[in-house]
Amino acid sequence: MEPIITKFYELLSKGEIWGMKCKDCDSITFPPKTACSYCYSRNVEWYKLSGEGKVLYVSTSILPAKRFAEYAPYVYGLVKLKEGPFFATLIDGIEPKPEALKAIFDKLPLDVTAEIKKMGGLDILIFKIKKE
Amino acid sequence: MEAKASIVGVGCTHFGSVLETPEIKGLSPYELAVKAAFEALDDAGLEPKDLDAFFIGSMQTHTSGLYSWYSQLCDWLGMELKPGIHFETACSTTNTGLGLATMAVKSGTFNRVLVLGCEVLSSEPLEHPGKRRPVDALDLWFTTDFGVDQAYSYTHAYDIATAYGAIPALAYAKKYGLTIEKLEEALFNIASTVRLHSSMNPKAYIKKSLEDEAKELGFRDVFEFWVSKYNPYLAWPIRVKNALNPVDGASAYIITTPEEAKCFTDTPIDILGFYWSVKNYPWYGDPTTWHSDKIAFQKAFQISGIEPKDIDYLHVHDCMQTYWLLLSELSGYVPKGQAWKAAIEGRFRYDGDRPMTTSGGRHGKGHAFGASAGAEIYEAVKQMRGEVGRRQIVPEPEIAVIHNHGYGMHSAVTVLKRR
Repeated sequence: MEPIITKFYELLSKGEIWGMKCKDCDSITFPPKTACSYCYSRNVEWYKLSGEGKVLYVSTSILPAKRFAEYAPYVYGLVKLKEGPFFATLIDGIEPKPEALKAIFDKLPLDVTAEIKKMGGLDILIFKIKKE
Repeated sequence: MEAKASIVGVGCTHFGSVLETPEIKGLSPYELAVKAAFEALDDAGLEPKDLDAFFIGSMQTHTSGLYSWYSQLCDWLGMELKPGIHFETACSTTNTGLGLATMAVKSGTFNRVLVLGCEVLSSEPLEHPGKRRPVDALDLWFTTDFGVDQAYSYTHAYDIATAYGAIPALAYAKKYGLTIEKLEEALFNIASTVRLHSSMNPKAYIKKSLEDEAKELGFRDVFEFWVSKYNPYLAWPIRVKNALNPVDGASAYIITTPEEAKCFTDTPIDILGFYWSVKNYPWYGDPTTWHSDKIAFQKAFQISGIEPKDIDYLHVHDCMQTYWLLLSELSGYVPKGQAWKAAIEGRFRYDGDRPMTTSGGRHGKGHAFGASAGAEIYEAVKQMRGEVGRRQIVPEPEIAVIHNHGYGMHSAVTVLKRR
């Protein structure tokens, strides 16, 4: 068994987003795990993702996680990746204020693209709203 | 509808803070747990020697300052040398415990089992085991979030208020074409019902209705108070008064075989069925329809031999009151797309035609993580027996469904029936 979590973050630091592809049902599991999240087969292999997707819902909290308190307020949202999986993370390009969130709510879903950013001491995957 | 096991005794402490709330002030986790357990024993007319086993649920070791509750509590409970365990499924813990005890009784291994939940969240222990110091919200959530995908989600700014509260609420509005204003009206009405219920529950953390709180602060219109600085957004469009209040508390119940139950109570509450389903974060694709909830409701109903139309009383886990909308529909208690209207019309009140969570829920009664589900089972049992006073549902519910979410995510559903 290889250290999957470590490899995922190492690849992210190199600017690459990897998940797992199921050799039985072709579904993409993201982030990478030891089994397919769709048919539950263990027959999975590394697969590089495009970093494209759509943001479905966003909001901002007054109770951020301790690790991200220094970045607050920020917008956090649910993204559907082009390859199928859902992933929740920070969303860049929206003001973390109720009026801005309300204005964008009517326009969602919007296209987003991946950005890799050092936050909380780690290179992580966030998404940025694509310019219309 | 076959009884798999029966509840013959229930107990629950006041929910609040062991640093401040008069009824539980100064109690250690030991004494708090025992208080609920002894109340359940008294309720059943049983003594510790009469029990075969005990299951203790608790989640937050960082604030309680202990685990291995079975050995640390066994002599306090008068149950040393008996089979005991410590278990947890986070905030659904004492809903899960009812399933565990049912399996134990139904298998014939034990005849009488005590299930006990205890949680102390307000504070952490000092060098003196009887004294504690307050814990602030950021620290409490830091360790609470250990229950959510640490590999990837926590490092990607996982945030309970948005993930659990805001996103599903927004998805509900989008699905049914509600304006944010209409959604807010529904959430305000749910909060008003929650506080009406908790104002009538002597064991609740908040005993003041929303209307009385508004009046005290000089507001003539309670909705003006709702949208004021006293109730900011926790995560837009969810406000602080739509969310849980972490508290200290303990709950307990005693399970026996259905045959034996009549020896201990005139009104046994039968366990018809239960089911659990788990999912890692994110818990949804469509945030209004979680697969783990759908499976837990469907299988629990199937095992119990009930249909949604049979439900007389429903509790859904409401760390965020969003779930009054989502889960009253998913369970079939109200038709799809109708929950927001039912909330505005007051149908979820104790005196409405679809009563829900008459304890005051996780905001009004308060949220003592591992003890909360047990407190809701306590509430359902008391409602079915007709013992809750002013907030009594009339006529007493015959079938009650109790749903809980445990971090992150454990969906637990139990079906109870008054015999």
